[in-house]
Amino acid sequence: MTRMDPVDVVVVGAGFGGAAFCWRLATRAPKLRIVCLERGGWVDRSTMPSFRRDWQAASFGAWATPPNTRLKSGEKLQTADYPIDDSNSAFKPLMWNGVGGSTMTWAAHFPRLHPSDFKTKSLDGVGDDWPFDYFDLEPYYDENDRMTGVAGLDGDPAYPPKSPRQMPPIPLGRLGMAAARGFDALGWHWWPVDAAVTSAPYEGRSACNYCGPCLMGCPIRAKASVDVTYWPKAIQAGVELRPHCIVQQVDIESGRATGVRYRDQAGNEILQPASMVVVAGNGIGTARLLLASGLDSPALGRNLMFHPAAYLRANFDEEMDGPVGPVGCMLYSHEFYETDPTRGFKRGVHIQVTRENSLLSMATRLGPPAWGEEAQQFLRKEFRHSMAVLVLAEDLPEAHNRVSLTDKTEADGLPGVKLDYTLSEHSRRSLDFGLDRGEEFLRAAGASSVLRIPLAPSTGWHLLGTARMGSDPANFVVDRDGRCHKVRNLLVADGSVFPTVGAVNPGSTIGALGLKLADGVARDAT
Amino acid sequence: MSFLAALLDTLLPGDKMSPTPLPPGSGIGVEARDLPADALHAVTAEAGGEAAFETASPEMRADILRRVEAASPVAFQALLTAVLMRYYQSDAVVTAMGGRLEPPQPSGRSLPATDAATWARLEKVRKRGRIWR
Repeated sequence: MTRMDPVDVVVVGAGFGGAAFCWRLATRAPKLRIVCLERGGWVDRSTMPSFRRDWQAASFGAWATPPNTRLKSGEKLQTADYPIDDSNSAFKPLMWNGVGGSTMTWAAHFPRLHPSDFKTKSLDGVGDDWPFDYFDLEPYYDENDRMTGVAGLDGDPAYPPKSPRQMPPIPLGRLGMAAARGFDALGWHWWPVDAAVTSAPYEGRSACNYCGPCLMGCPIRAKASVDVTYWPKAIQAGVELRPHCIVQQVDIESGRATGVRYRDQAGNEILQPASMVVVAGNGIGTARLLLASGLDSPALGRNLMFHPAAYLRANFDEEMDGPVGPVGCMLYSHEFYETDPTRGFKRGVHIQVTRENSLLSMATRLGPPAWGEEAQQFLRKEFRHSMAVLVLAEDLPEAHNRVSLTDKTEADGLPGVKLDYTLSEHSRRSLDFGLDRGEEFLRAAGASSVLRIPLAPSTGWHLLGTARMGSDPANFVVDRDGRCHKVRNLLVADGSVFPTVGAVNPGSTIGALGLKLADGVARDAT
Repeated sequence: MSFLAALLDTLLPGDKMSPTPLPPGSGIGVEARDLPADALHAVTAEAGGEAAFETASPEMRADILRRVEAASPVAFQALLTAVLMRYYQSDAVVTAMGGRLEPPQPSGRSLPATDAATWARLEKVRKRGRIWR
């Protein structure tokens, strides 16, 4: 085994949390030697599918969002994926294993959590309070927005006033204007989304040209994946990013992390000693590595949270935009986001109007029937005439929803990983309520038909909660600074630490949290 | 009609909608080697041979496929996906559906500007005031 020179901090994972953490720490404590190990590589943008005539098919192969689908495709991959046993999970995990993490293929919908999301226990008697509140995190949200570049509109009454958005909102399009009419007819809240997409040139990145398939990577750098936002600046600030390095174990001796062992692209076994280890591999990857490393914490791997999702598809007589523009970035309603005791469940739902997917994507999600004359005629009516409404519910922490290891050793040298996740009655009630409201909205917007999809299994983007943050070591893995209770120089800096998850996409909060945790380390180091 | 054409046309019969009819599944150049062999075997086995499937009525063919779909869902889904991928990316079908043949990049696409009436509607939302807690 090759032994590298010791470093001050080794970070595992170059996704949103790791990137934000590295950049901030390098700028706040420039004397620290920081190395980031990423299991995958950089993406070559010239290979992105959007340039090809057969671009639609890429979402079933090397650019599929589920790693399991990519692995089964047999295609040459730009990701360093590992299989995930999701046979006992209501939601199937989606992620990108490479530099940039899942921001490479995310929708770039960029909401913040609400202030109430940080206090679900004290406000509503469910979940747990975060160890800090929205306003503690607010300056980091602001900084994360600036680093990312957010297209949006100031003045949303669903949030406390935010710092000015960096760019105007993404145009709503015909679809969004039709949706606005529907919300207006009902008198409900709606607002253009905060999008991590450029609506105008921003810090050397060109403006979005609304090509459509954001989930297959953005070749023009309009979508803010962290390989184009944080990483160039982090590297410039002195962080060493080593791609194609698969960490096998965090070495823990006498209650302290001493470094990590990893396998490089050539298969060499390497020991990287470090004074501090930071893991940022998402709610599955982080739990897998820490469980494999023998971290002693009863809560580790437990309380896996997604955002339970369901959706509606509606047809309109009028022609809409088709598969044009950032698919997840149009408008949303938080009319029902906060708790209303008359609904029969605590917390609320996020209602998001999304743009059309590609023709092939729409064809493959038909059914039943999924084929034959009826299916074809349905698609005829749907394509360029449809509106989809996504309903996200707040997942609450439940110990039995978990990530665990299998007895198998996978090709990457680590133990296999398994998910056990059951949709709770609370989530089911929340989704049903949201679907009812979504249908009400679509009818008000003029839909001629509405199809309910009661559960959307292939939406497991948000991998959260498996190393939660809190003060009690029996129930939480890390403290308010992201430090493991049992190993104080071992940190977690990704969505795993969310004690609760709200009902909105977590990217914005993961980035802000990465900045905040880095400040804590920098403060201790200087 | 060959076995393959009968199969493809049962899955995707197309239509005659004017002015842009959708071609049938057999009309876009899909070949047997493009499709998963185990699924094709499942269809012939269920039908009692290729000839039996070819000569069956459209309703009977559809019934055979529904039985295969129920008995071998993974294989059938692989077959359907393979067919749909070729069909809905073919020039004739994309054009008939009103899609664009040119790839998304580098030219991109366009979205209409948000109109004044929509901004006026949003102003009403703004004036409601705080709804967060």
